[in-house]
Amino acid sequence: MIEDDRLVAKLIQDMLAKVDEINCETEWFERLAPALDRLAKNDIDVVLLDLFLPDSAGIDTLVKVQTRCPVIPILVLTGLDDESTALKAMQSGAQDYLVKGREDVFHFIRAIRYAIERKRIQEALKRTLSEMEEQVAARTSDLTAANAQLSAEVEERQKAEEALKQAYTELKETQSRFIQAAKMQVVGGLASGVAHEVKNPLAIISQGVEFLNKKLPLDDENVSLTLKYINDAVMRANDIITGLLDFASLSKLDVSPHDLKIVLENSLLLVKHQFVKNHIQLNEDIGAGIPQISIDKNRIEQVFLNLFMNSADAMPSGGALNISMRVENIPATGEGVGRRKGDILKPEEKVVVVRVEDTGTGIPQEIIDKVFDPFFTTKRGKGGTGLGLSIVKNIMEMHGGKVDIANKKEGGTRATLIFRIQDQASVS
Amino acid sequence: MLKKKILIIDDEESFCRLVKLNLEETGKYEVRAETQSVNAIRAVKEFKPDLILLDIVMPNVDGGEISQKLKSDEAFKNIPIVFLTAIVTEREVSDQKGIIAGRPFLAKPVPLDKLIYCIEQNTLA
Repeated sequence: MIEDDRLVAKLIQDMLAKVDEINCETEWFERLAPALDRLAKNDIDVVLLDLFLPDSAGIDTLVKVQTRCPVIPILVLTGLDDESTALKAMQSGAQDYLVKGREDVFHFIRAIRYAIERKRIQEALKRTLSEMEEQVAARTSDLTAANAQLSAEVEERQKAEEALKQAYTELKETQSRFIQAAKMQVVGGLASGVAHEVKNPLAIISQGVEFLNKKLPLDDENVSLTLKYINDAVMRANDIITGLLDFASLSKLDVSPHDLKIVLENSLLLVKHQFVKNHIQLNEDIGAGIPQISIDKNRIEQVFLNLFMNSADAMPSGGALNISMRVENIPATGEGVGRRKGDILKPEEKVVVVRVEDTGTGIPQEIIDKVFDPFFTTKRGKGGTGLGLSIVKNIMEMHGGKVDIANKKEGGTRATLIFRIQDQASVS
Repeated sequence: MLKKKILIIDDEESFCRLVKLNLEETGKYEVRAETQSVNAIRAVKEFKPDLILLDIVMPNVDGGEISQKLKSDEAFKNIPIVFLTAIVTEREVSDQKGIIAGRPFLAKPVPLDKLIYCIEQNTLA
């Protein structure tokens, strides 16, 4: 009890002493300061506080006591005409107020009991609340962590999905290339068997024609013409079979390092004579620093020859054949250029580019997409098998390179061959 | 003029007969045809050819085996053999300049003049 009015204090003390139901010990202070010291021990159950003391007045007194002992219930003792202060005190956290002179002992005791009880409950509630808050905070932080982890996992999954999609695409590409190779193998097996079985009868026919040529009356024009037709037909059939074998035997390359310049020169040697005869001027532009590359020499000669023959066919009354060979960089974009392993060419990759250009009739726009199709030819009946360019395309692709055919703006056709320098096709 | 003796070993009878007809028509060759590969060695022994035209793909014994047998026989190892077969293409032969694995090859169907040229190249005049 902190009360500076002695009479009031005595009254209250007597009142409390008389009560049997509760056993209380009262300590009385007239001033706040010593009371605060006593409260520091924290063994007081309830404080009866007069707000107006010699060393403190008003709500401030309450605040000071609350600050000193936040868990001890405080009952405020007020004067008869001081209810507003009392109410303010309640609002500030006092448990109750008692009007001096008005209270009877039971009311007093009850107020004290209630005050203690209420304070206990309040404290319990505060504790529970703070515990709950702690739990919520913990749960929240758990949730936040879990959420972050989930987000990270989702990102991981998305990345994995991307990688999976890419791997699937690559797998599909590899699979289709594999199937293509397997088909080629089957065709190869079939082709050599078929070729052998067809070539034998062709050999018989051609020997027969040779014999008849000597024995039949050649003054009959029809006889000699007939024999010529038969012979030409045999040759044509033989060319087709040979073309088929070429096409089919591409499952294996015989690869070794070669100077591409020399391979080109060899191929040119084979046609130079015919070019001169057909008034076709030959222009060569070979760049410097062409490295050796791993190629199947015979097949690449076949490629060059094929392009030269096509160009020659397009210039029946003469013209010019321009051949260039240079090391170049692949531009960053373009068909077949990309960063993935399955792409044929990587951007900025160094390659050897061979261009074969002629001043011939060009390729009609409506068929230019078909030139690489097997058996597509504009020279049927004139010895064309339609296999030449499809074989060229196969050979280049097996070397890990590319071939492209396009018409030039100024007329004529340009065939572009791209040879890889490193990372080339493996020998199968 | 002494005719050169040519033995042709090929399981296609019609081919053998026509080659014989065509070669003998030139007047320069005497030709014997053998279609049973199992009789090949006997034919060589009996005919003693100056050159053998040998097919490869034949039932029972193939041209490769026959060639091996002949090469390992003292009596016959010096007889020139030209493989005349459908299992190679003209390009394969010319790529290798007419010689594959040390032997002269001709790809069927072969023009007569080329056949004759090859025979002359591989026999003594």
